[in-house]
Amino acid sequence: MNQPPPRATRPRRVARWVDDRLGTAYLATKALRKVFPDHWSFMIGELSLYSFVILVVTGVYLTFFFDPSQAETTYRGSYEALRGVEMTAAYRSAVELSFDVRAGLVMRQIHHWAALLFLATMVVHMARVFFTGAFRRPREINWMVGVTLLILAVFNGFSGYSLLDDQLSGTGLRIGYSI
Amino acid sequence: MDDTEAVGTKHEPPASSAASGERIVIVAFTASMIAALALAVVYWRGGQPQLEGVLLAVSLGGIGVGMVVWAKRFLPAGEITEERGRMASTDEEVASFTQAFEQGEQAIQRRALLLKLLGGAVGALGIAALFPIRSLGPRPGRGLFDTAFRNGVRLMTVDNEPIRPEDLSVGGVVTVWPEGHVGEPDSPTLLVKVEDPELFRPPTVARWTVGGIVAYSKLCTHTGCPVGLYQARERLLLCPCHQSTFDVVEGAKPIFGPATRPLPQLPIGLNQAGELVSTGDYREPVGPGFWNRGR
Repeated sequence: MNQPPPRATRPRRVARWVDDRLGTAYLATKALRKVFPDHWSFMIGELSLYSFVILVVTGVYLTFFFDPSQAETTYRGSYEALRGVEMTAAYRSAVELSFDVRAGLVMRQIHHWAALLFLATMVVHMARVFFTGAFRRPREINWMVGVTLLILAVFNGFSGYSLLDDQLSGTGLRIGYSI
Repeated sequence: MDDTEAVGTKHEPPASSAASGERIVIVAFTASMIAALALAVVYWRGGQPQLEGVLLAVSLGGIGVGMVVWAKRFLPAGEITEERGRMASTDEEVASFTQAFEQGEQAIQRRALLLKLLGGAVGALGIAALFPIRSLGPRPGRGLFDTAFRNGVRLMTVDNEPIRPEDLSVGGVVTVWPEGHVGEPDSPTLLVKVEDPELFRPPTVARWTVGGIVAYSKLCTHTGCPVGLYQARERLLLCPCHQSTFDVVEGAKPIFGPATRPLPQLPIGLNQAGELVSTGDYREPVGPGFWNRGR
């Protein structure tokens, strides 16, 4: 093994810099060598994960424009059909996001679809885990974490669409209030 | 430290598919770059939601397709077996833990007492931490059992105006509240006028009606949605949430849908000025069932 050391290219130097401080080579080797089933159904959990990432990213964008306020106000934006209508500031900020914020409507739509996919893929993923028996020892804690995540996601989704103060959120809150 | 045994076959993909695979990856990444640039241009020039969406899809999708094809075609594949590693610690690890744990114990005389006091301190703090639960508010108590209607209380519309029988038209419904409590969530009441008081049948209480006007609670007995829809021809009140349907002339008893109890009827009458008033509170709790409703 008398080969000359590999050329110190920029990526290698960066990697060495990180490794000197974090000891990453060991973890990275384990990650690269991880044996993982090749079937597509094992990727469904990742669909949930990336749906969540998209929810967070679009959600952060939306929070810059959304106004979580119950104060009554009058709509004066660019959507003709609602101009002059009394509404809460929350609903007005949502309408403004759709019509007056550039790319706002796209962000809202992506956020909505990501939320739907999030919950759907979680359920499908849980089914996959169940039917492949992946919840058994030593992964019971994993399963319980997953169920908790599902419950949290359901409440998160409910509270998310309740923020908007439109017809759906009002009805949903009314029902939740009565339970 | 590493339990992976890469036992099994590894094969290199044939060279011919390598060229087509590389082409796909090149096309995918290039399309992604073009779409991203176009997306920036579209945004700069004012934005257009559908175009933004498509370009975003191509941009992200291109990266995805490129990466997946790269992984499938060019990374080593084949069956690899990995032994299940131990999850529990080895005997040596347990022993060294025990030793490290016990090493911490110097000469403590009253060890049992100290441990008990530690448990007591943590437990006491835990119990004290439960007390802020009281800040969640008072228990409803009897609050669910009655509303603000009393004998002689005027019925007020949402504009805080009293209402007379002449103000109602046949086939229409008006929502009213007790005077001074307009908008209170437990007492919205529907006034329904039918063309002929003779139409009312038991269990509608006739002496609680004024002419052809009858008053029922607006809160659905299923899950509490306001029963806002009135089918005048059939004289049916419909709840929009789960489509419980109540027959106005028969004591608002449910004839369809998940509700099982009729809408409570409010006894109404007229005061000296000819305005509609309640002559008492509802005789039963309004709204959906709750745990101690029967007591």
